[in-house]
Amino acid sequence: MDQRLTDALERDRAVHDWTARRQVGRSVQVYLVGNQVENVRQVERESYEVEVFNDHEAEGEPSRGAAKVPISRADLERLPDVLETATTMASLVNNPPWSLPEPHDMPEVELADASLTSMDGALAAAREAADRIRALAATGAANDVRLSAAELFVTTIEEELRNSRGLTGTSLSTHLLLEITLLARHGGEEAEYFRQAQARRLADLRIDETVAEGSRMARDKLQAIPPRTRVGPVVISGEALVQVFGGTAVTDTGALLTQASAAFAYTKISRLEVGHPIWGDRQPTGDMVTVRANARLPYGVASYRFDADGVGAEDLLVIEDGILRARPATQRYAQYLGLPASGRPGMAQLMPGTTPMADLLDGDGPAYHVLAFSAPNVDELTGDFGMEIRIGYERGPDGVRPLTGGSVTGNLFEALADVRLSSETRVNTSYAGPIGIRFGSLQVAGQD
Amino acid sequence: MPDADALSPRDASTAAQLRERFAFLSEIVADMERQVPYAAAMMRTRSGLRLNLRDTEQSVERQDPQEGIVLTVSNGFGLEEAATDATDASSVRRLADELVERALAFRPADGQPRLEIPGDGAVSGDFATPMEQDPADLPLADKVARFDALRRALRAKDKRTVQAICQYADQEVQQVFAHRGGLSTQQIRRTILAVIPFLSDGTRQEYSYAARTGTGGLEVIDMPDEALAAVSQEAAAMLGAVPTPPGTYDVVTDPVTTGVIAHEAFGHGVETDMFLKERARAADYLGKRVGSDLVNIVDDPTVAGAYGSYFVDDEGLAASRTQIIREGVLQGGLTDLYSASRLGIGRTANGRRESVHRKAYARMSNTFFTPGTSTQQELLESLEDGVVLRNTLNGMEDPKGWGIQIWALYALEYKHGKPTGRVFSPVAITGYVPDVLADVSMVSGDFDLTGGSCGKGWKEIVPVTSGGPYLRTRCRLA
Repeated sequence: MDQRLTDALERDRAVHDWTARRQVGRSVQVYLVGNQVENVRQVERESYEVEVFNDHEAEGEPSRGAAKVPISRADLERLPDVLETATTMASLVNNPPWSLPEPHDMPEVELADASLTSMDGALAAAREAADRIRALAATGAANDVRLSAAELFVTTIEEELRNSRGLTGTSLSTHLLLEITLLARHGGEEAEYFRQAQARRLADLRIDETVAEGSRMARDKLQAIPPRTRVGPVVISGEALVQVFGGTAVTDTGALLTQASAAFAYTKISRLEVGHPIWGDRQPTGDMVTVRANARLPYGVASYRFDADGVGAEDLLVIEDGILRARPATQRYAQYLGLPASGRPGMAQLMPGTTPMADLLDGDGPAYHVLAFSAPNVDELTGDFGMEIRIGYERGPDGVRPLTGGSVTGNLFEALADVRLSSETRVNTSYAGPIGIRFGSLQVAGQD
Repeated sequence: MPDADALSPRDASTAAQLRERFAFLSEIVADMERQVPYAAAMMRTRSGLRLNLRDTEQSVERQDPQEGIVLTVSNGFGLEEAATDATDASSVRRLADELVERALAFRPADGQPRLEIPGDGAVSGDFATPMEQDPADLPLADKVARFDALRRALRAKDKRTVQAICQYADQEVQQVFAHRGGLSTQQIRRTILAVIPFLSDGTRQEYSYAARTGTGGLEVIDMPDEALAAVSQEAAAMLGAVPTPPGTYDVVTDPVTTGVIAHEAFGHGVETDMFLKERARAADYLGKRVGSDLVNIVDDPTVAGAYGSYFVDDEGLAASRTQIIREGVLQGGLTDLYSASRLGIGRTANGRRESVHRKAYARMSNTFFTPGTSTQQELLESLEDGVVLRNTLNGMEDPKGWGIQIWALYALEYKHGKPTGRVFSPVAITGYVPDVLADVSMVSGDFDLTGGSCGKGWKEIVPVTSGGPYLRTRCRLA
């Protein structure tokens, strides 16, 4: 931490509390177009963010204002001006008071792939992985599958946090992002497979498996037809589970944990109540859903050692057998609602059921099986979802037929009243839980 | 496009300061180009703030400055880049030396073709978004008071309102481009205001939203009382909405939905990096019919006041309008430097980056259907049995399969040209792009653009607008 920053924060009398974070990021980015390297990038960044708190009265009541101020290198040379602006900002917003975390022992959470933490190591690993992707795709050429494009980002972040209460914390994490597009051709027709995956360890990207699965799905898509319009069972697995339950590029957590959160409850936009079923008045059938907000999952992409306030990572039981048991609560909203602070929700981790995946697919008559939607689209405010089927299968007495197009719609909270969960589990990007979930009744719209 | 003479005194002064401070970039680029076939540099920084006001809390944040410099070189076969948040000359020179060394060490794979970058046509000059009401001139206290008053007015529109949110943001991006053609500067100001009412009838909660966006100052985000009333009424109507019966419908799309169709159907699908990756079916349809005669789609970063506008793209090229579809026939695509060079086609000014920390891709700016000659009323009266799609939230592209996924907040049922009072919500819109465009049978003379954010896949976020008139077509809904 730059001493000038903490000294300036301590000196400023209008700053009644503060939190300062420093991040040093090193990133290697490799871009492939076909079998050629389009671009290799190295990025280095040192950034600071301070949150300053100003206590004052508003309409006769004690009030706390906060202002978040990212600070650039240039800002470090003019801190008095920057902090004066920040305290002015904080003095103008009025919120009920809350306090910052006191010093505490931070949990140890595994977040870094040691082989990637140096720039040289990251560059070598990224080039090697890119070569691996090219080689794997080349072996698919015999089956008319080729690499369209791939992007691989390898990033290391060193983070340090301090606050005015004496709390200190450090963490080292690695983050990998893989985007891969494969193309399958048959005659004059082509179809693509696109996937974005994230992990903290190179091995967890499962490059070989991703290329193999992607090749198969791209080939199947060439034969795919739209689904028929109907209401019936839909089994969701693979990337589609990440799209339904995981965080997105826009939000860190999916609809389940967002709706359950103390922040949503405090702002009166949560549909869920503690002690009540998440599906309202519906009568549940099948497996009862249990969900944890797990920020301690080793090498989980949503895991952390401490959150932006300095609250240590927790593994919190949020939903048990369909009943909301606890709200994930950041420091501020925990105090507002009188709850224990559990920090930013980590990964949504669903507990498994007892049915083997194979039985979910083959049991109880015909079902649609969706492996990937075109894009995640679960409304965090309502739980409503509607997603186009990118690739799926119709499984029935006549065999298995690939599907594409059409849509699956419903409300996530209501739909979870009628599910069966696979006994096998997996961690996949921002989702952890059963490898397959059979929804008893969802609307599928396709051919009329 | 304004020239230096058109800049306000303040903007001209800022441009002069940027030129003086970053003059060293031109020297570094010239030095690098003595050793590698192509080099360029871009500095970018931003400032601004965000306000988030609601019943139960207020927050104010400064925008991440994202200050930094990106250096680009060609190694003769591909591009290599280095980015840093250090903006002093000595740090950037050191980085340039390392980058050139890395590029010179590159050994191409067998058979890898050379990358020939033609005269890149980069522009030289100083540009800035004109403003009538500079957000910086309104003190923060007055901003908080102004937008909280707006929020309270929204809340008062309906007693069933349980939460009312007002979000405001202003942003100024400053850029310096150095390339073999010279040096240019750009100052872009964007302002955005959104209001979101949440209504509950005790058993059900719904929301809607209204937004004002643009390049410019506070003058582009005026939100009159009628707009607050309308968005509150929308949320109220959705309390009585029923699920959308699945099926294929005659639809009239509002300008928001029209824009998302343009953006997802023939925006992403004509970004020429997708041509290079063979991900875009459109590449096989250049000069061919892809929609009815009424379909005209344009990308134009020069639209005055539009949220996605700019003067110079992130690879230094002067902004210009691109006709994507004319009277149903596909004309051309949107390019970045690399894909245009590889494909051997002319460049358009669509090379855009999320920040210096990311590479440039071919991206949209303001993408829209151009207006037709029918009236909105004629479109509505033509609906014998259909719906009007309103307030689309998002969509997803599928340039290879030409599928389309769009998510609208609600639809109004129409029979015999009149609303029945039934409201469907939410609405998932899917379809096959050529069918949707071939079925465009009426286009109104209205025109409106809506600002937002666009990702490439699920990342690389840049500001864009989309929009156009009301359209009549057919889609599959659920």
